[in-house]
Amino acid sequence: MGGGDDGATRECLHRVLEDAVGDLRAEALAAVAQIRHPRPDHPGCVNRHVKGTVQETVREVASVQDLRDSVAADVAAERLGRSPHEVRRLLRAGQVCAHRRAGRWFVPVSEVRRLQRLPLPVGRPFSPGSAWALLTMLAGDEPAELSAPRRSQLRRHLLDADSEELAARLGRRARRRFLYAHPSMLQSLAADPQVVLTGLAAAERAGAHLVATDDSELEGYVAEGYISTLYADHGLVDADEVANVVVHVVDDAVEIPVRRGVAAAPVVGLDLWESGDARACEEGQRLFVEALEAFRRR
Amino acid sequence: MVDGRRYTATLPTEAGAHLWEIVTQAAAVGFRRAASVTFGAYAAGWFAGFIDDAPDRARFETELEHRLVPVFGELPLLEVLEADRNELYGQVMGRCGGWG
Repeated sequence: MGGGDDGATRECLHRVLEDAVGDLRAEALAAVAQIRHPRPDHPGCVNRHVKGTVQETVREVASVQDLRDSVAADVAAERLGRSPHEVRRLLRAGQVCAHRRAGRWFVPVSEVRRLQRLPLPVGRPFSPGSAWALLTMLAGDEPAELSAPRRSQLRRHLLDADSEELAARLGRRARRRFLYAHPSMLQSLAADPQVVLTGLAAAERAGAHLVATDDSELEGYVAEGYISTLYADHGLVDADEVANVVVHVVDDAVEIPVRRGVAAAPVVGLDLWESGDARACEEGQRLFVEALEAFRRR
Repeated sequence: MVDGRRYTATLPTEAGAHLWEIVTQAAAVGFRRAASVTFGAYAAGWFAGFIDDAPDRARFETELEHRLVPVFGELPLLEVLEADRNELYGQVMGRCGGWG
């Protein structure tokens, strides 16, 4: 009998079954939306109606799933080997997606798994401004409005710090939000000039050896001042388990280094590294370390 | 009535009942779909979703063709999804005469 090795068989079966669960869930949501909200008679408003009802159903189901697939913040802290105080600080800083119910924070299990793969920060996290100045320098650009002493200090960090330690301290650069967009809106969302693509959506253009097999998910940076417009223009709703869009919200003043129409390689690398997916983590770390080594050679 | 069967529950709030109804309907739809398609048919569609030069394509094609589809291809997807993963590996192992 031909075939591959044990690990590949297990991985293949696992991938097929996990994708089957995801597909069945998506089909069920769309079908339930149709059962609960039958299409109107006027053909002109069918598309808008379907989009609206699927989003409404997703919002309703997401509110149940979010709670069912989440753990309380203190449980998350225990699983992560971090103090409850530290986890609460991450929640307040928007570095971990979570939701509040009855005065308690709940963290999605997917976020706990993602954090388990990340190195523990050593030292104080960089402020958002310093984090972006570092990433801009790492991308080969000069950060604007930075004093000479501060620039020299950051340069020293880039020259001396260990890559894992550096990456772990860049977590405050943005606040993550998990959203759902109707699949028909993803293309226009990706083309929105206010969205700087990153993660898997930008991996290939940033030089990662990863190819997105479809365009059913999207990840990008957006300025805080544009968020409400983004929600309205592309019909976005907040969702954890059924999310197909990850938005990293940054301060309005931040200028994200861009190359070839997407975030620069060290930024994409860092986002892949923090994604929680084993292969993306590996490739993201490689991109980030390569950018760091290139900086040190300059 | 969901999927030809009657389901009942008493929940403390109207909103809770509303959500229960959605989740029950979704579960019934997912259950029916998973029971109506074979593992082989789903896997064929799943594999067709790979682009030609995707890194895992050749590897997964071999695994599906030689190991997984010969064992599970005719089974309903639901049966495979509900089975214990270790037992599934065991069946493949038995069919292939070992992992090595």
